[in-house]
Amino acid sequence: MGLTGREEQIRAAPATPLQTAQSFLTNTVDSSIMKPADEKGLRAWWSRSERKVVPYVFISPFYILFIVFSVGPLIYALYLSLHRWPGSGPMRHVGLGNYTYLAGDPVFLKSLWNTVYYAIGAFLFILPLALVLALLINSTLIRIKSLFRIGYFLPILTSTVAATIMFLLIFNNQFGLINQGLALLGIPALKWLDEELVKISVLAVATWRYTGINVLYFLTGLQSIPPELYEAAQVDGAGAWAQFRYITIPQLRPIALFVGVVTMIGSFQLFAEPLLLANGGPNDASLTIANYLYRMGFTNAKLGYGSAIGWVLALIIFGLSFIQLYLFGAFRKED
Amino acid sequence: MDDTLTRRAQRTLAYGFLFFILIAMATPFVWMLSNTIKEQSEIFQMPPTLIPEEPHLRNYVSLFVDFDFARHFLNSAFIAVVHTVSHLFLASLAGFAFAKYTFPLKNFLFLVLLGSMMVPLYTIFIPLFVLVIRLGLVNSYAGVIIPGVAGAFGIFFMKQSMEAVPGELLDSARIDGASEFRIYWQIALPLVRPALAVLAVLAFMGSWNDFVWPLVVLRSRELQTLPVVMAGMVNLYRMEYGVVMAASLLSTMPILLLFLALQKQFLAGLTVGAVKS
Amino acid sequence: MKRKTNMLFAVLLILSLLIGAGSASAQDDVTLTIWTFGSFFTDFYEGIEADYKEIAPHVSIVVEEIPYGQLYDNLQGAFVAGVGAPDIVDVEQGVISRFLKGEPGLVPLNDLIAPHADDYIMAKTGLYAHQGAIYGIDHCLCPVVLYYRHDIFADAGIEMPIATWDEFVEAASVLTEQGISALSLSDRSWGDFYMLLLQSGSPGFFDADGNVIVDSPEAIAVLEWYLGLLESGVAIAPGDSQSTYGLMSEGKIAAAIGADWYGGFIKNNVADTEGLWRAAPLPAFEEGGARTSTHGGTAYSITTQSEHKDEAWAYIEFALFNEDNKIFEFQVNNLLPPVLSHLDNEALLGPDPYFDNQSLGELFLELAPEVPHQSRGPWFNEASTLVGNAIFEAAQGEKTAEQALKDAAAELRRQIDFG
Repeated sequence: MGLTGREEQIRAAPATPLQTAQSFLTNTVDSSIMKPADEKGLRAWWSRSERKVVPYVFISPFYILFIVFSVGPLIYALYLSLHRWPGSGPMRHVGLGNYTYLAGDPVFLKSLWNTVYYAIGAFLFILPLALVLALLINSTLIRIKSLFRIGYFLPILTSTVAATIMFLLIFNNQFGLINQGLALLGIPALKWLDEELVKISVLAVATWRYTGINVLYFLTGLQSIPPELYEAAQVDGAGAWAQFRYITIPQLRPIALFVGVVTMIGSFQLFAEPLLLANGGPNDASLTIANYLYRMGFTNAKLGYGSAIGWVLALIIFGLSFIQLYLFGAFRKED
Repeated sequence: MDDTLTRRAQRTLAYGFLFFILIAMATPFVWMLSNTIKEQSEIFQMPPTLIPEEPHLRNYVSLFVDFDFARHFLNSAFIAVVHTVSHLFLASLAGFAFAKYTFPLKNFLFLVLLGSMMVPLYTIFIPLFVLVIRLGLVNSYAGVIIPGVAGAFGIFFMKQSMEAVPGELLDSARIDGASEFRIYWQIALPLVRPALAVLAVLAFMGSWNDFVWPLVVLRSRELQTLPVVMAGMVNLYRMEYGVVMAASLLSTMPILLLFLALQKQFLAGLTVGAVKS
Repeated sequence: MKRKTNMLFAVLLILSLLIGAGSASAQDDVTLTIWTFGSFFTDFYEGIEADYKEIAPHVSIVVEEIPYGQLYDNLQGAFVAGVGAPDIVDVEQGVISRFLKGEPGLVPLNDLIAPHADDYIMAKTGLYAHQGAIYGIDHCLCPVVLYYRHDIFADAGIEMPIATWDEFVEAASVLTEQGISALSLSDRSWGDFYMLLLQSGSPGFFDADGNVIVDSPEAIAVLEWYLGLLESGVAIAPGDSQSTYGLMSEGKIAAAIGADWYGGFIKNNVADTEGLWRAAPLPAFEEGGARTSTHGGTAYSITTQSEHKDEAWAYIEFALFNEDNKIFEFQVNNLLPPVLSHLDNEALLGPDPYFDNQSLGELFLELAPEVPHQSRGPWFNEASTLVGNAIFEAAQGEKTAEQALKDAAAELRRQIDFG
């Protein structure tokens, strides 16, 4: 019976950094990779070492492109972030001056708060909604699955420009579709794009746009759960809730981790929606860090300061992802 | 008896909720559809009209005559197809390696991979621009396709999906003397078909809708992709709202068709059980 | 000996080839690359291509159309890279300031435009100038007028045009009582305020020496007056352009200030009110004061990376000062030429049925010499963002007009110090 085994697996503590480091060491010490061609020849060496060499070959395309197209530019951006420079003329070295200025820059702090707001919103609204929808579509209750899958996916296919025009008509302070609906209910019009509500409107557009893709991710996860697990549980007399709790949730873990990390990265890099809907305003009320980075680095040609914002943003995302991965036990040694 | 009744109630509730969300999500899209056959002033008319007063196809005609839609459509299609096929191969290969092997520095390398997704494009935009010029990639489709062909996102996605593939299956193939690549190609890959289908749609969509990168690389108008042309329809001095919506509608079609074509794969589920027995 | 002559012969041959090649390339084909952001500019360049080929057969023009925004990111990339910039670039007025920082990658055009100073409306050069150097020559004049619903004003018994803003505000109370806003003004961005600030005689957010004057008494006075219009209901702030068009179509907004191209926007977006609109000079701030302003613009600039700067300027001169071309450009994109001798062209003076068969061209011709000067320089983007926020804060009642502008100016000075 599989339940207890599964449960153990969830409860198994994630590897501590020390354990992870130890596993690196033991693996590295194993030196057979580096010893080719003894008397048995290359073939024998290959058949012994194939499993050790092959993963590096399989992952190498990414790292080659990463080194060419990201590492250099990143180092350059780091160098720029230590200077003030408008893109031409002499550079002024300021050490960590851009970073200290950033810590006291009211607009940056505002954009940081706005971005955190969007990220929390994504985790509170988009992901639970997507999970519920995926569970329903995947359940035996529902027969016409493809209609919903496609219907929910439509928004992300719509071009951002066209979608923005539609949403400006929907959120319009005077005549918007929502305000007309409220008027029918006798509720006075709300200013959806003003300081108080604009973040909610941005979040609504993001929910519209990104729920479907998360439904799709969760469905992939749900469909990769072997049906035998449920069959065995039913034989053992487990109810629907027990099956959900002890099979579905643990089995969804890899995909849930993926969805969580991707959503976090995505919401911290949110760019187009606030820009198009309200131009980051009014009074920077919807501005994200990515918008602010663009405003500084490009619109205002503060290349050094923009690079500093970019590095800080990347470090924030990296830190949060690391925590997420750690909590999900992603660094646990494979069994 | 009682059981079937609750089940019926459950089903009604489930359908009700799904349809409610569906309508909420489809409304802007359907409205947009109707806007493609309206005059510009009717698009802004309040209250809005769902059925156009004087429907016409001028926006679509303008799309093909004034904006050379067909040409840009083909450009986008070529780039997206090449990107998708190569990306599926490279991402699943790397995802397989991360999911199913232990090797020194694996965790570190994986963090680097994730880290690469966290760098905002505009942080490295200027150096990338310089690089494109120095590498002579300007105005080439290779320059559009190659940099993102082994993107971290797809590798991460495939890794998470490959983790469901049982290790015993791979080991038994090894005992039979299969090479590692063959194990990936003939055993692991068929098992993650649903994930591949999803990634195919996502990769195609990513490439199809990509906006900034083609602009950095491609300079000639004839080579440009659809999103670039669509962005040119609405700007400070010109607002072709009807045309841009028509373009948006037509440009969703290839992804929709791909989605429909891959339906069966989505449903396939993981067929581990069959293989096991 | 023979060997030596052969050598000499070979050297001579190579030399002559080199010289020949050199002299050939001087007359040889020149390719000018132009970056532009709108298909209406592309259409214009393509339309005059054949004519230019007759004048300068050795010059070919390659137009690369890049959407607004990305065009300037790419241009910045090219300036940093030191390669990859075009010969000519269309610089929209809203983006010029970022290219005026450091050592501009654009060529000063003062000496080139000087011979045309009597004909070209030099007030437009202030948008693209820094420390006396002019980096762009505008495609368009963009004069600002008052577009108004003549039916609504006639019904209310208000005679148009009105000479001063004071009289306008007084007359507008009749409309306010009927629930109609006489004007539409933004409560969150800088454009409308800036038009009026320029009209009032201020050079804008900076004085001629580049000092911040966002918090000058003149600016505070204009903003106080501006906010007063919004508070009293003379003006409404619809928040976005869709609302504005909707209210115009319903007859809830009776007038708006805007440039020549804004008339085209009204025409396209409020088509159901055809024949009900007219245009008038702006009411002046005081009797005899300026009756127009300017809003928008896109300039021809030449990059320092261009290897064919002379040919580039020759082409710009052809595009800008050849009257046929300018009239053709007006027909393609409705942008009025910033060239005095073109403005009386009949093609620009015809009646417009949308505007009650009024000749807008005559009005623009009359106002052209009054288009105000302004000074902008490298910090204009920072200034306009801060002023937009200041207007919003003051309109919300969070701060007084004076406090909002003082805070904006202080922050602006801090940002300029930061560099």
